[in-house]
Amino acid sequence: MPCAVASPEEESVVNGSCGAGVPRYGADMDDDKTTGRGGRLFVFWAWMTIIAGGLAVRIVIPLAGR
Amino acid sequence: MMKRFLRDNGLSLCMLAIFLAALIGQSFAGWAANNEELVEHSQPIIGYGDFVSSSAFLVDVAENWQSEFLQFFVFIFATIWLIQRGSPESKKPGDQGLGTDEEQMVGEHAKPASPLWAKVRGFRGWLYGNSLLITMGAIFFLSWFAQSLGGMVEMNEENAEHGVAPLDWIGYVSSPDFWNRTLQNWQSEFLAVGAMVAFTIYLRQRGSSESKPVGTPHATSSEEAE
Repeated sequence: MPCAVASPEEESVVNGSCGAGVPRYGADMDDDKTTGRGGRLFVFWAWMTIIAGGLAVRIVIPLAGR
Repeated sequence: MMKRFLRDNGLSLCMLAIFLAALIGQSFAGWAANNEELVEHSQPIIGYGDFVSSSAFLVDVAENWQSEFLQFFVFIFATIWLIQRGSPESKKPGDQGLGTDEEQMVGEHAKPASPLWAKVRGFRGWLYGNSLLITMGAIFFLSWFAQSLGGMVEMNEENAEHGVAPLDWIGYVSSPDFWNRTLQNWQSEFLAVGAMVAFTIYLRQRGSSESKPVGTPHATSSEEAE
């Protein structure tokens, strides 16, 4: 059954749900430029730091011959 | 404020917590197993600090890391070009490829809230447009390299105990030990991803973003609207 879409932004919906589906990207994208930005940045850099630190340790220690 | 932070980032924070718990658990279990082996060989046991900074521990961590990031690297790349009809992990049939600039909201099609580098063309635009694949690939190759170094040191310690000549890096990455460690992890990653793609055609988990909504027809892929 085709979706009744109001705008191009609503054509693509999450998980194939139609009509009542949340617009995948686009329509609601401008609502949330800053909300929770600090938290998002924190978790992103926390993961990046753990991974970079873990890699550095696992490359430096064997190179030091331990 | 803290409540909001925990709610907004619960998924990554939960994964971070169980990752750290599992890694700490692995370090203690590995330390105990290592000391059991030392006792069996009538050698003195080592302290926890010495174990977690040894190549024996680090190679075990590295070989699992590399395969996980390879899994995502391959999956991210494969899902550009290949589809699985009916799987929510796949784009819909006909959508194979990189997509148009309009679909991708890049360059002049970028929205006001789009990332800055999505709005620019040239190298920065290209780099940002491939940043997930590049990052996953870099972590995979560096983890695999770390595995090769740790594995080499560990193997050479064993070789020294048995009076066998040490291997250089090229010798180790050509050895059965390196490829045994590598491929035993790769096979399980590809198995799990393939099963996820295939199972999600017919099976559902209500409420999970990894599943189609329960009543979605089997033939419908994730972004298929009709």
